[in-house]
Amino acid sequence: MNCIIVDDQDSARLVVRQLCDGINDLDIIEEFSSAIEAIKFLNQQTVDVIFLDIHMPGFSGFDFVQTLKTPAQIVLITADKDLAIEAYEYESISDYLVKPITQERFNKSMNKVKNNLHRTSVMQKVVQSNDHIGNDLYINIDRRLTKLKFDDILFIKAKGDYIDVKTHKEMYVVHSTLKKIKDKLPDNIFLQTHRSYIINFTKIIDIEDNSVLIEKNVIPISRSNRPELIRRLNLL
Amino acid sequence: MKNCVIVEDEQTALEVAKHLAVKYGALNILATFDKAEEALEFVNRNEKVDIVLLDIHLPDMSGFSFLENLTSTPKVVLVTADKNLALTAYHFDLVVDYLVKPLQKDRFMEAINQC
Repeated sequence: MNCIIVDDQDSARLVVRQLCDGINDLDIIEEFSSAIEAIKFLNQQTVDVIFLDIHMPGFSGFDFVQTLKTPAQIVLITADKDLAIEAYEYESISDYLVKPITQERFNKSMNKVKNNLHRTSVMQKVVQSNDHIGNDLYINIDRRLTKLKFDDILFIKAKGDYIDVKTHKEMYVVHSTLKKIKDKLPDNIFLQTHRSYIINFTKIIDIEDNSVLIEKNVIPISRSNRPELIRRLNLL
Repeated sequence: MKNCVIVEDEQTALEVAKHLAVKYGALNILATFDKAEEALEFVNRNEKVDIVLLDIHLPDMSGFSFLENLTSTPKVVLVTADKNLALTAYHFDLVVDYLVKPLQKDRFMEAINQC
């Protein structure tokens, strides 16, 4: 794991460096005394872990987290006990360590970070291994034909005589049936997972026993359709 | 669909959590408990529990004691009115999020999506 340390105090960075020495596969590639410098660096290079102080002059640790564009696991290191509740607001913050930090607590934190990184990399593989295609589907909305790119469609849900076609930005209600639209969709990226659902499986973020996550939507997978989904994923 | 258990001793908060879990979390509620001990027994012997929505201040033991005695490994979302225990929560790897009551839909969904 590659990491950087962002802390305005020299002595604090030294302490983190010593804690890192106790971890086998952890390499400190750079240290920064200001968050701005760290952001410049991260625009050029990605890292796995960022050790981050909260209270820094000019630009706080939370400002930094909000500005960050690259996915990295952030471990806050601070003397301030009172901001843990705020830290929970950011998904990228894996842990919150209060000084003085024991090696034991630090090791535990690094295990957590490793697990999180592993989980993220598995998800990315699913996403990257899907080839995108660029065809369109025209749907009839208020007597106008609206063009939708297949790749923009997240999933389709049957609702009586209508279907909901969900894209990242919109939910289109179309007078049609799931069976009709299924025949129009390329089966290399679309799959029926349930009596009422067809999904674009390149958009899957996470797969559970009987559901998949697409953006913020949890889509059910019926038992009979699950093997097909798994088979498709194995092919990729 | 993920299976969840809700541990909450306050009736209104329980109703809110149930509503959000079903409507927005698309969760299947396996059971709800107003005491930690019964909940602990249920969760430890029920492998199907994916998520536990857990209050911290409970009549018989704290949510943290609950976590210390947990032998299974569900994802845990803490739900509490107490803002001062988030630091302790970071000691528990199973805790994915810490929500402050009253629960808000968007924040609740963020938490469930991390589970």
